Amino acid sequence: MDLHSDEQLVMELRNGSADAFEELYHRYKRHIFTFCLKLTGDRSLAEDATHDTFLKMYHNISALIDPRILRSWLYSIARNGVYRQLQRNQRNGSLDEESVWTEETPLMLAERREIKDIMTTCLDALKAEYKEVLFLREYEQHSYEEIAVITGDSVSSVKSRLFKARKALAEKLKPFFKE
Amino acid sequence: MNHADYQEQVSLYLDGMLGDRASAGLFSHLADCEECRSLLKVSMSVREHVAEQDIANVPSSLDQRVLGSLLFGGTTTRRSPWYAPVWFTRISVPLPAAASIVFLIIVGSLLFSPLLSQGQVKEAEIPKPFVDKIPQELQKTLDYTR
Repeated sequence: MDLHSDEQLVMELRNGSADAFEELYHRYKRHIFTFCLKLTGDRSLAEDATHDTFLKMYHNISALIDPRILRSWLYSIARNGVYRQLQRNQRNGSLDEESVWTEETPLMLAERREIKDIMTTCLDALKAEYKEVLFLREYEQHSYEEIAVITGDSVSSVKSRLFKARKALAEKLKPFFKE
Repeated sequence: MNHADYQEQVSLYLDGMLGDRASAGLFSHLADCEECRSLLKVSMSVREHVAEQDIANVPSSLDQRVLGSLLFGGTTTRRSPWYAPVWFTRISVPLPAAASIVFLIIVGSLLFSPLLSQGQVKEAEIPKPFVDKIPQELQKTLDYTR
């Protein structure tokens, strides 16, 4: 049971409460770490991005105007950090490119024929900008509006990316889902 | 409305963003369109698959980095060898290297073991002053066992 709401903890953190920081960290660390891990596929990068996210939360908490959107704000910080790292590592393409996939060809790489393994391989092979909307929608169950806040895009762009990701996955996975 | 529009509606339907009327229209299209049915079916399976995935455990070293750097007066740092206490540092060694190390330890301990070099083990000599203090009966026993 949460003893304190996010709003209360944000207020306390603004007054320099270490306990509030610790409680917020433990409340969100696994979600943020999992999100970073899904986007990067690399535990070390995910750890660095999670670390930086909470440090930024600590130092910039006064910039959070509405404490009710703390969760989305944290995802937004984490997402920006991950993108910076991915760009630094030159592992990510541009958002303007047509392709939904990374350079890997998922099904060629999927030697294991279990459908769940193939799904995981395909999800991992999606570009980060498609992976993030799918993860935020399907796993974290964020609304389109929340995802738009996190990604800094419009709601229509979020809808479009979700649709593209689903369509691309359906095309790849169709042979394994015969009627 | 064309096929591409219905495909976009499948995505909206999955997210609960499609009204009743539009949903009814979509379902009548689904009855005749295998591609849209496949999109819906695969997308639902992907949703199920993603939802089943476990949330990742945060390594204790990350807790230390975050809480340590902010709550205990340290400066904010990236992970570096000097930062993490040695007991919380994960050491990664490839399996063949680890197996080789274990093998060398076993072979080395056998080579230097007294079990394999019995002939070379010198028997300890009891200093004369101590021998004199041992009762005569016991001295005979010692001589006998040797």
